[in-house]
Order: sequence, then C-alpha cells, then structure tokens
Amino acid sequence: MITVEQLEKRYPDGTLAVAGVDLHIQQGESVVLLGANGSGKSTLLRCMTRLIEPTAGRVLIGGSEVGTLDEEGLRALRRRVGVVFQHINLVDHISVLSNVVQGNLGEDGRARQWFGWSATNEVRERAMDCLERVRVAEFAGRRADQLSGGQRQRVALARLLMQRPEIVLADEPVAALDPRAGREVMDLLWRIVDEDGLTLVCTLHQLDLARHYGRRIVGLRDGRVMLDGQNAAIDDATIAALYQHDDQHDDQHDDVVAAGEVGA
Amino acid sequence: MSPTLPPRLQRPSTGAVLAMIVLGALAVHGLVGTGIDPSRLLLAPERTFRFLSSAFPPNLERAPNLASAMLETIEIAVLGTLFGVILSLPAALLAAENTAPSRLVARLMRAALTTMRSIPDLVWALIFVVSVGLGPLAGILTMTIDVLAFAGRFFAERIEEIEPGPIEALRSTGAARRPVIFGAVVPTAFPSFLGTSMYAFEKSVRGAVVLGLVGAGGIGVELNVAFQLRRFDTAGTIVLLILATILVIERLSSRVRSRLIEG
Ligand SMILES: Nc1ncnc2c1ncn2[C@@H]1O[C@H](COP(=O)(O)OP(=O)(O)OP(=O)(O)O)[C@@H](O)[C@H]1O
Ligand SMILES: [Mg+2]
Repeated sequence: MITVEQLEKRYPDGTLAVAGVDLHIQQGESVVLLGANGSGKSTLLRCMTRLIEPTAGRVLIGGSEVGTLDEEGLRALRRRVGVVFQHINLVDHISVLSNVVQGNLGEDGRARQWFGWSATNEVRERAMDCLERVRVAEFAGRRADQLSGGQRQRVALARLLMQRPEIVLADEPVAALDPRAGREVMDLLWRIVDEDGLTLVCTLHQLDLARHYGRRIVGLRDGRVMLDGQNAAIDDATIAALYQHDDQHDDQHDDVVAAGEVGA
Repeated sequence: MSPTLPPRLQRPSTGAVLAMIVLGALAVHGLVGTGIDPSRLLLAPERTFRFLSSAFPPNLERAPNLASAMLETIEIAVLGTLFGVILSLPAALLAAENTAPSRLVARLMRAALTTMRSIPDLVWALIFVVSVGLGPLAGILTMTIDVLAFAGRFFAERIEEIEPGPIEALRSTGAARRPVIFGAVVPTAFPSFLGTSMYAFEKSVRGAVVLGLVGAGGIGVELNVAFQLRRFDTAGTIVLLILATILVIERLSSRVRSRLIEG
C-alpha cells in the first residue's frame, strides 16, 4: 500500500531531517513510528503526501508514484490519505460543525461547502454522524476554540472521518494532550482504523504508548530507521537506544528522560 | 581574547553624520532662503483673534446646506470605505506571501499598494477630478484608493501572521487553493479585517473632509468657499461641525472595534 524508498529531506538551512528512509507498509497494517523529539517523524509524514517536498527518494502510495503527480493527481491522492496533526490544526474561529464539513473539501470544494451553515444537507448530516462517532456531537454549534484539547483532537478525528480516507497518517496525535485525554483519543483512533479497515501510520515519541498500541514498531533516530519489527519481538534495550545520543556526555541525561517517559 | 568593556559612547556612523548635516542645511535654507518674514508671526495673534472673534457667534444661515454637505462627506467616506475594503480582500490575498499564487505576484501587488499609499490623498483627488469631473464621485474614488492602500497592506500582514497549521490541515484533505483560502485563511483573519475596516472608516471621514478643497465633494467645498469669501462666521461653524462629526464617529467606531476585539 505504501512504499518509501531512500526518502530524504534536507531543509533549506541544511538540516538533514530525514536521511534515507526505506519503509514498506501493507494494506490494512498499523505501524507505530517511534522516535525522540527531532528524530524526523513529522518531516517524514509530511513528505509522504508532499505537504513539504522531499529532496530525494520516492514514495509510492496505492500504486501511484507521489513525486510525479501533477497538482490534480496530488489532490486526488491526498483525498485518500487522512492526516492527524500534532498541533491538532482546527480552524479556530469557525464552528465545530464547519471544521468537520471541511474534511469534505477535497471531494467537493464548491463555495457552499466551505462552512457548516451553508453546506448541503447531505454534507451537514454526514458531518454530524462523524461527530457522533467520536462522541463530540453535542459541541457541533460551538466555536472550535472553545473546546478542550482532547475534544479538539476528537473533532479533528471527525474531520478525518468526513474525508473517508483509506490511509491515515497520524503525527503524534496525543502529544498536545494530557495522558487521560490522550488514551481516549488513541483508543478512538485505533477503533476507527480497525472498524473501517484503514492503513495507519502513527508517530509517537512516548515509549509506553508505542508498546501499548503498536503491533509493528518502526524506530526512527536522526532521520534513519533504526529498528523495524513486531512489538512483541523488540526488547527494551533496543528500543531505549532510540533515545540515546551519540554524544557520550549526554547519555546519562537521556536515560533519565527515556525512563521518565516509560512511567508517564 | 578577554572581553573588553564597551565604551560609554559610540562614534556616530558616517551615514548618521551626513544625515544630520543634510537635515541641518535644509532647516537653515528653509528659514533663510525662502524669505520667511518673522514679523508676520508677530501679527499672527492679532489676526487669529480677529478670525476667532468674527467666527463667533456661529452663522447658521447656511445650516441646511452645511448639513447636506456634511452628509455628503460622510457618504463619501462610507462608500469609499466599502469599495476600498471590498477591493482590499483580493488585493491582500495577492500581496501576502502565503496566499499569493507566486512570489512575483506578491511583489507586484505590494508595489502597487505602496505606490497608492505614497501618493497623497489630495493628489489622488486632483487626478480624479480631472478624470471624472468635480463632485463626490471623485471623492469616493479617492477614498477607495486610500482605504485600499491602507487596508490592503494591513490585511496582507494579518494573513501572513496566520499559523500555517490549519492551512496545512485543509491542504492535506486534497482541497484546492480557493477552499483552503476561504475555509481557513479568511475566517481566521476576519475579526482583524473588521477592526481594520472600522479604523479605515474613521480615517476616511477625516480624509473626506478636506477633499472638497480640491473640488471632490463634501463639506470641504463649503469650507473653501467660506474662507475665500472671508465669511469667517460660516467657516467657524463648519470647523465646529467637522469637529463634532469626527468626535462622534470616532466614539462610535472605537466602541464597535472594542466589541469586535472582545467578541
Ligand atoms: N522548517 C524547518 N526548517 C529547518 N529545520 C527543520 C524544520 N522543521 C524541522 N526541522 C528540523 O528537522 C529535524 C526533524 O524535525 P521533525 O519536526 O520532523 O522531528 P519530530 O520527530 O517530528 O520531532 P517532535 O517529536 O519534536 O515533533 C529537527 O532537527 C528539526 O529541528
Ligand atoms: Mg513532530
């Protein structure tokens, strides 16, 4: 379903954020992409649908080579790939319903479908169904900035459902949430993916979450894949290495951080 | 190398020294070279007193004409602001780096707005009086340009400040340019657009008052005539009328703006 070959992204300032990643993901598979802060998780996900342009390598999604698509083709591809963001990224000044309705913009970008109050009945009703599915339908009429972090990320999940994607790329969906709200969102995301038979790539930096939700875990460090295997087959030492710097001096400090995150 | 204590005073740069010399020369030349007669300043208090005393009591003979001229001024400001704001939106979307179709377009649009802003109102008014004739239409066009130049720039700056997140989120759904701009950019910037528009309206009422001096309609025409005929009582009345109108409008507008900020 997804094939990534020698993908590389060097930012204009010279930072090599993704340094030659190879990855193959089957249809219906859920993969946790684990890595410390700055290991290149967000960059890698963004490069997959060219939200930012990779500087080298190839990405194939559902048989089409992403790098060669023209604007139309790229939009058609993006419609099939739902993205959940680390920073949630709702449009704050409009209603929750409008935010969900906007999940449909790739499919139907006509002016009346831009907002909840103007959208067609079919779209409005479907948006309500999506909100109900993530149990935030009661907030449909509120402004998006009047919700808690957990509620906001659920609305973002409803927007994703509205898009009816085949693939979900979730970039640290719970990094902005407290542990409890985080678990709820993770449970919802995994349930959606299971029920709808979606393919999922979910990046995480918390070890405990990765252990709990991951079936296959891919470990990223300094923009490279350091480990790739079934959750049960990976031992703690291997995974802890993801959080260690090359610099001797920093080792001790990093152990503390990694250990702290296990307990969180 | 050990750090050295910075000196208390730094030698001014050559550029600064040159600038001071040029400004100083201009000031001296202006005072001496243009033949300003200081004795005129001595006469000024007396003359001003004459003007003020003949301005009172106010002359309400032309009250109906003045009222309708003032109304025309306000209408010029309202219409100019309306058209200016409407044009500002597309102009700002073309001028902001993050919504312009290309860098070049953004540059050109910015240059156009800067040009509009660099030419003073009264000069625009003179130009429009030539192209559409005397009267309020020239005034409306002038205020449209004035508001467009001002609001276009502010809108564009606001658009550039918008966080990229929500825009990226809509792009990620496969949405095209236009739905992304109207779905995410415009709603986010909208409260600030309204505030800027109200401010532009205040500004254009003040601007529209003087447009009549060059024949572009409104109360300025009456003021011009009153001074030229030395009808200081009428002139004084007009000045008071302008003062009152502007104060009322600023009050109303700032109240609306603070509402907008709260809401
Ligand atoms: N726009 C950018 N310009 C330059 N460097 C960037 C940019 N965005 C990210 N980087 C750098 O690229 C590297 C990878 O960043 P990225 O955001 O992909 O990591 P991440 O794994 O998502 O981290 P986090 O867990 O903090 O979200 C970091 O060193 C970061 O500083
Ligand atoms: Mg990230």
